[in-house]
Amino acid sequence: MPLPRMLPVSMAIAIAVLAVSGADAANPAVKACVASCSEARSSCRSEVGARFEGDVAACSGAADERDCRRLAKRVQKAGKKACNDARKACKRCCKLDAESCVKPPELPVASGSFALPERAALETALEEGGFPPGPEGRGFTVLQLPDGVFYIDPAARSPVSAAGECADAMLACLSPPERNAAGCFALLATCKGKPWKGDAPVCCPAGCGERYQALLQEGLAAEDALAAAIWLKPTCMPQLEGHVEPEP
Amino acid sequence: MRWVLCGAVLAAACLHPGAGGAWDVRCIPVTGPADAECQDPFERARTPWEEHPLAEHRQLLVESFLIAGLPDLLRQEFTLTVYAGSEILEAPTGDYESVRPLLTGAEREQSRRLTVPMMASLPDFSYTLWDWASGNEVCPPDPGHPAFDCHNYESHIGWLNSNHMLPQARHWYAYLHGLAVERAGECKQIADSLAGPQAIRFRDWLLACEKEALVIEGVAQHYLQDAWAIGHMMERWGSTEIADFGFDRGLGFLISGFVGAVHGSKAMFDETPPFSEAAPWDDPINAPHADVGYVDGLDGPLPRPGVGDRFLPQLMGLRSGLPGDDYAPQREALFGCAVDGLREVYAATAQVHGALEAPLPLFDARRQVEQDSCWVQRVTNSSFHTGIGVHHGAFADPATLLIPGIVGWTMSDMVGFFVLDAPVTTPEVRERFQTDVGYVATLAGHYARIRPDGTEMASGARPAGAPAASGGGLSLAGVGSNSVYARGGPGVPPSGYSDPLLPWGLTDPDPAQQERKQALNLTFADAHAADRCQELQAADLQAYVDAAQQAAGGDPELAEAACGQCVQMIAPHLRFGVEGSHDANREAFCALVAEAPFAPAFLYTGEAGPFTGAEPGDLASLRSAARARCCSGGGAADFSGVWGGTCTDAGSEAFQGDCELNIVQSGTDVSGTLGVCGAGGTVSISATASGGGLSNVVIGAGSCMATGSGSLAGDQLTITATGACGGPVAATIVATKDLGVCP
Repeated sequence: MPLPRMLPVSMAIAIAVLAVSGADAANPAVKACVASCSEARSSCRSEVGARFEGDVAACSGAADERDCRRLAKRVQKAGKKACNDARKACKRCCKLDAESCVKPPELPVASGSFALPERAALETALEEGGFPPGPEGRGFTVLQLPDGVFYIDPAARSPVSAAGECADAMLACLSPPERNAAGCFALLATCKGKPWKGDAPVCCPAGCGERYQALLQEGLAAEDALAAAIWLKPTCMPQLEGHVEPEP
Repeated sequence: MRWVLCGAVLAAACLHPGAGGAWDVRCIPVTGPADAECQDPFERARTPWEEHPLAEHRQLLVESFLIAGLPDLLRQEFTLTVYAGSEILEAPTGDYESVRPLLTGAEREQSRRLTVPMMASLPDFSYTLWDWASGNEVCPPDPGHPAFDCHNYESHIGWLNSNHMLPQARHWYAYLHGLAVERAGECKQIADSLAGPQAIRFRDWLLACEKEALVIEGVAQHYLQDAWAIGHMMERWGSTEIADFGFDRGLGFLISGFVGAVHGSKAMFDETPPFSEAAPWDDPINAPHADVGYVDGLDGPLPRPGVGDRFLPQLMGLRSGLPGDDYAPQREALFGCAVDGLREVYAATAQVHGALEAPLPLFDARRQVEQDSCWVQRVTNSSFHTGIGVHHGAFADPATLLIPGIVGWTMSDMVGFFVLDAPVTTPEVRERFQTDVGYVATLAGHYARIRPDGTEMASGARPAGAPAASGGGLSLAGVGSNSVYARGGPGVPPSGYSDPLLPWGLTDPDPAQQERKQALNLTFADAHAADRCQELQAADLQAYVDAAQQAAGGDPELAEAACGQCVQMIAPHLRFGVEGSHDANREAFCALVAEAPFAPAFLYTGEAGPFTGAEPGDLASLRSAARARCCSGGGAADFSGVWGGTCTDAGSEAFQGDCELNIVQSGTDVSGTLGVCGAGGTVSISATASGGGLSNVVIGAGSCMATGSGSLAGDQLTITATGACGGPVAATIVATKDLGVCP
């Protein structure tokens, strides 16, 4: 029987994937590796559960007990997601025949309180400082230079400024061992839509926490992973890549 | 008033030399009040950088000299005489005469007053020593660019000064220190070739050579001093080459601004309205701050407190810093490195200035300037993070953070709103810069929280495994951190426009190198007499004589310049006597120092022997002889002194009276009584009258008399003075006086 002259592309890819999967599944080492991923996730979730119970217990009798419990749940939810994401990363690793693929995620830790940066503070200060208007009435002139004008326009928000807000909020929150980055991502408001528009509180996009954990799984240190998640490609801030400030 | 001047932080550091340089520098106009500052780059290159409380680099070198045990004579002011063109340089603040030396065709004689210690300020005013020698009249990093603009902070110097920060500062120091040591060795070689009386004869030139070696080291010491200013113990992004910024001046400007924010902006804010009205701005890192310190290469890993520009009194222990802080380790480390470098240079000379004495025990003797112990200090992560913010107030109060949250959105957002009319920078580049600054600032904040005493941020290393960024790790819009561009070292120039390799002669196959070498050779002309011995041929020497004699009698300034340049160039080649019979006791410098196979060219004074050995053989007499050779027929004289007279016969208008011949050279009256030189020597005087009725002229010491008949109107009395008049006068001098009409 003659072979078909051309397989549809999607079918060809599917066959290839199945062949690889079949090969992986048949590989005892890969199978064992994947199993270890599942075990690690179980262990991870147990840890999350234990921490949650501890956090909830600590909320008892607190003045803001309700808020405290709500926070504990958010942290627990973020922890479970981190466990799941870590398992997925682990399985991907196994298929690459990596020798050791179990890398526990950074479980969120969050307690205490901190002050979020205020977006309006800059404009207020510029107004109170009596800075003259910027070029064409935009923002405030800070310095006149031979080569142009330095000015700040607090109204000209962009994906860059939104990424800055997220980073600034994260740094305001970070206070190891009281709060780690994973915990701060859980604590901070999640951006909806375009965070550089509107008056919603300072936030971080949902993808930032995931990207942070993924970078940890890739081997980055925590301090490097946070900055990279927000600023480096592929960034967690929508439209930051390729964003270009309009010409003044 | 609440001050929130975020944007200025980025701009600020570009605007003031002190903001980009570590320890401060100051140029005070010669004629201005003590609190005035030189107005522009041309004035800075023409002004000796005198002592001033904010001349911190200079002061540090003075202290280093004292501690190092170098002779006091090396710190004294001296003057370089250079021969330049008559070009007038126009600047918004005034016009300036060129001081850029010319190999031939001099039209003006210029003086450059300087001290070795002041040269530690040079890298904040000029790019290189040859740039200073050229009067800041060219643009080393951008040869097609107007020199005036080229030497302004906002347009060039500020964003090309990455070599003032580590590790590039080490490379620049190493290169210049290598030159200084090598030059010192050359000086010793010249001194060694001059035995006994000849070493005394040419002592001034030996001193000039040693001074030049220390001048080179003085410039080098700027980079060493910077390395011990805490705001410079970090990897400032960028390079000294415009090409490394992709020829994007705007990007260089932005990077300079960000670096200035980290470094500390006191120097700018304190002096620029309207910020100055709210001074002080004791902005860390240069100002003391509880979170600011550095990790020392020898004494780490615990950080030490540190200070930078504008806080030299704290460093020196003359004023208190923060309670409990002691800056003695920083100070003694700086002096340890400085002393090691200075002593190595001076020890390589013949020590004509005086013997090297034992150093004072005020420095860290473990430091060696060619080792890591002087160069691997870095500010802590906590310092770096704190430095990004802007602080206002006095550090001891303490200064308060005005720009909270600058690490993240404030900084990165702010730069996006700059309007830079500087050419080239595109919105895409600005966007890359914004995101990369955001990355760096976020990283700094995180490191400050988890490893405050680490030095990762100041080390400029891209985190291992970091994904590719738009700018790539710790780069800013594609411009790498300092170590990426750390080039050169001993024997290898760190940039394309560095001071040239030795020897600094008059010629080089590369025209650019030749330009630099000539500027240095001719500015430090006495120091380089030996170099020229091998280069100037007989025809060259005769050309100087011809030029001087042609200029004689013309424009006095031009004549004096041509004469002076001739003297400067031929004196080392001048033999007393005639070819085949010259005075061996007064042998030409070139004959003494030239090494085989070079055969120097000579000129001769024309004196006939025999020589008794009693003839004056000092450098002054050599210069006088050279002047006689160059400038016969030149010189200037006038009758500006007493010129009285009476008409002895109203009918014939005969004249008799006293007159005085004033012989003026270089603006100085060197004459004594008529016929006798005040500077020593004698002058033969003769006088003639012409043009009218005078027929008899009698001239004698202190008086002259002319008699005749008829009207004196139009009569010219010409007095001719000929002979060796000591000092600078040794020529035939002709002066005339219109006698006018008897009253």
